[in-house]
Amino acid sequence: MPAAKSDLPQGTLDLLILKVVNLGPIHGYAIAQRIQQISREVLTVQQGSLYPALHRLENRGLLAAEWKPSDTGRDAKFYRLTAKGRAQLKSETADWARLTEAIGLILATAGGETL
Amino acid sequence: MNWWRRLAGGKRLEQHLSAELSDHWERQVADNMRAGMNPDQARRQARLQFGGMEQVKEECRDARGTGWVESALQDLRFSLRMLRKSPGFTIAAVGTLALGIGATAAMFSVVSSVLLKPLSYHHPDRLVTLLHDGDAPVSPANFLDWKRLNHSFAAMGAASGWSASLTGWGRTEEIVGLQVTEGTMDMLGVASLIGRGFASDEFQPGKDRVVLLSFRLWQRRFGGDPGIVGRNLMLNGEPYLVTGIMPRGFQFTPFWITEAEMWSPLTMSGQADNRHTQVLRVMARLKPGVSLQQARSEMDTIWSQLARQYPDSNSGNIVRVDSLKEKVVGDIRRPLLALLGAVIFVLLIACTNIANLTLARATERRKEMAIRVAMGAGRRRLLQQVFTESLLLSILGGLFGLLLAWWGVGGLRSFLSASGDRIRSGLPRLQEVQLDASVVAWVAAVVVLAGILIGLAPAFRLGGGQGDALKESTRGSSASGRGLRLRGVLIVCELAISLVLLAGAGLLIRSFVQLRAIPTGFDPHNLLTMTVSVAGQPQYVGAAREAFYHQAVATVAALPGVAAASMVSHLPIGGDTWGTDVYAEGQPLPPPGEETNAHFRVSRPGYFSTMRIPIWRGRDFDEHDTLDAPRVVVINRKLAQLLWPAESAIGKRLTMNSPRERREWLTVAGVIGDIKQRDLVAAPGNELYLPFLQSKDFLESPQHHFAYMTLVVRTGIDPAGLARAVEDAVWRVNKDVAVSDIRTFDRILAVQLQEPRFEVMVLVFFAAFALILAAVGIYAVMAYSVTLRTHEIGIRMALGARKATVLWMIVRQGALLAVAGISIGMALALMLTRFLSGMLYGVTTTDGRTYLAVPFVLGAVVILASLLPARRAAGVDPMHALRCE
Repeated sequence: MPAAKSDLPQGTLDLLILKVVNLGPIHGYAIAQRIQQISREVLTVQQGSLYPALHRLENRGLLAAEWKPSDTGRDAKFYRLTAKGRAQLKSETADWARLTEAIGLILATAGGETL
Repeated sequence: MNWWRRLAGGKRLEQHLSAELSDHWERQVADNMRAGMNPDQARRQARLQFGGMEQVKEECRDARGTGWVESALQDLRFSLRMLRKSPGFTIAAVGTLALGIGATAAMFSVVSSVLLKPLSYHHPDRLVTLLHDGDAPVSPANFLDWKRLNHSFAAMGAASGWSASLTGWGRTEEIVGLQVTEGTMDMLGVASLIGRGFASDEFQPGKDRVVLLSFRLWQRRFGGDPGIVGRNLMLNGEPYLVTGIMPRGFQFTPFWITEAEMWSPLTMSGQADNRHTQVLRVMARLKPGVSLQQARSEMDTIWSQLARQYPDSNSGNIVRVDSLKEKVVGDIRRPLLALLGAVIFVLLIACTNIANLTLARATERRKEMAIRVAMGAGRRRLLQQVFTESLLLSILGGLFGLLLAWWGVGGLRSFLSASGDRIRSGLPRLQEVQLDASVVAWVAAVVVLAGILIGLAPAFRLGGGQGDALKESTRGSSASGRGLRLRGVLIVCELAISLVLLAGAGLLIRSFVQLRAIPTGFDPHNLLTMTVSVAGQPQYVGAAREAFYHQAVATVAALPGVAAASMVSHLPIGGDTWGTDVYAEGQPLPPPGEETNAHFRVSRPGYFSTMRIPIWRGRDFDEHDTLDAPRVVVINRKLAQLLWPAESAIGKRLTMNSPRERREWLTVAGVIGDIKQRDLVAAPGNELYLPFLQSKDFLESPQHHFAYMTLVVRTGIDPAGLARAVEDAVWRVNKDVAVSDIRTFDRILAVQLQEPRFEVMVLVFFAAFALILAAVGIYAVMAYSVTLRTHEIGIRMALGARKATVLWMIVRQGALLAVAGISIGMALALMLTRFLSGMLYGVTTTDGRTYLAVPFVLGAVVILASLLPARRAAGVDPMHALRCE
């Protein structure tokens, strides 16, 4: 396992899931894999947080799910974004950008010392 | 997916969840193998990566948001299982609660229907009555003056009693009705179901032969045929046009002649100066914005003006304006609320008892609870379980209770109507008593409260350290002291409340016994009475009427089983009461408003001996007291002593006419004993009797209130069994006369006692129920305490304690509880029985005998209830008890 693995900041898992699902219908295992790959193995998602989060998003109507045949031959549960989910993704992405920009500003200017 | 579907589809969701997670796991295994692991390694690694499968599942379930319902369902299932496992407890608890809730619901339905529901008129809260002294009728001239002078009322109407023989339509029947003045029906705001109300020209003399029928009469006599509207009925021998049918349940007046079945116009023409015949019950509708208080003060002004103007007729009485609803239910409010309070007490005792039972079970289930705590159940979850069980009990009790109440209300209604009377029913609005939505809502509220009450004690017990329970032996006695104390407190409460109910019941019983023992002044047993009306027989005037009555009485008297028969205008107690002024010859005239008043009746020869009213002096009337003979009168002792205190009244003369009119002197022929005239409770007033043969109105008038007499029959056998024969005997003389109101005198007295009997029955039932519950409760506590102390008792006996000592030890424990309960109960009872004061006759609320007897009874029951467990304790075998450890 890579040493530089990070825990996800609070509340960002939902955003990552929405973003990944936005690419097209996808099942739970693939979501975890995709997050890991895209983050270049920095972020790993525990099943213990992934599935409750998926179910919470589904119950809030941000995701819709459907059982469909998959590459293994068995049926798998595929998640896709609803209209409401897309709107949520858009606003959360904007929020995140604003937040990171603000934090970046503070880190760049407030301290006298450079790391 | 919405919340309901998530809740309902629980099983399917579980399957999907498992499938989704295992799909993930298998993909992980496959990936691991692709990365070069062998199958065993791949699976092992996947399990490590995955984490706790059950934990993930639980978190996913939480994400559904339906967890609390599922845990509630789980608790419910568990509770049901627990109740099924101990059927004895369940039956006892549900049965007790069902009785308690059922009684409460039945009582509440009476209160709700009688006191809370508005009268069924348009805006009934704006309707008022205007009566002398709040009760006595009003003369036509005064009514017309009020109507003319007031500014407070939008409408004013008056009703006068009326009855008529219906002939030519099957069986001849005397039908009770009312005559109403113009605008009275419009004032009520109830439209006729079929046909029309009265037109204003129908209040003119000669055009007033029209009638509105009640729904019940329409169904009863005309089979609900709408074709009856527009046809003529023969009433008292005259044709009356049926203008319409009133809707079902319409009742008027609601406080007097409540069973009227037809209404006809009462013409007021020619009545503008009639201030002496006080026959009208006046009602009015307040103008919008006018308060009852304003109307009262205006009527006071109007009346003082009228009293000044006509001192002869109007001085000496007042006019009271009351809300109509108050007039109908005002007298019954306090008794009903007192009974409702009593039934709530009963329910409290029932809940206490069940709390006690549950507490005993809670002690038995300490281990179960301790295991739950050990397995990680939170305090909240334990409380949830306790209250689920208690609510389940109270819901079951509530369901059965509703059933009992439904049955009880039906029984109550038939009891009340069976002991009722068509003129005076002791209890108002009893036909309206029913189980409706408001009762169900009340039961629901009671169920929730009872559930919480029952659960409180065991929940309170949960506060104790559960952790030690696992370490205790099954017979652990050390930790149970606290449970016992709590149960002792509950028992003391139960005993105190029982004592209050017993004291209330005791007072009502004493009062009822006193009421029943009131002497009437005559012999009311084996006496049959009925009204014989000749109103529909125009040929019966004067001698012909006398001949008919004479022959009717003779025919009845000749029947086997009949000892004597006679007639009177109105029965005492059960009949109408007419009054008159009396002036003795040679005595100064009293000032206006202070005249001597007397009840006045007309009787036929033999009436006093038939009724067994003693004749103290002189004689009864006989067939020689005719219009040609000197006028005679019979008076009662009270009037005789009032008018001639120093000498014999026989031969003295008096008159009933106003001194300003021509005087007609009546010579006193006899003095009779004082009898009850109006009701059982009021002391006998002055009374005088005129002979039928000298009473022109009763001999000749075709008017309905003179053209009848009441037949009284003294029987040697059960009078009810003779009713048919007597009726037939009258009809043998003339089959077209109307015979009505066939009642035994015992029945008339029963109607008088209907309300007190109802109250005493209900309260005695409640008190008996409370007493049984208290006995069961104390028995349960004592038995439980004996079980806990078996070991201790064994040691005592092994050390030489005698059986009597052990017996006393246990009984003393019960006696201590009894003393505490009785002391608190006595204080409570002295405070609370004050509410019964209006319901008591001849007994004060602090009646010594009751307060001696009641603690004695309760104490005896407690001792008996603790004797059984005490005997068991005394029978303990020391060896056995010691080995039990």
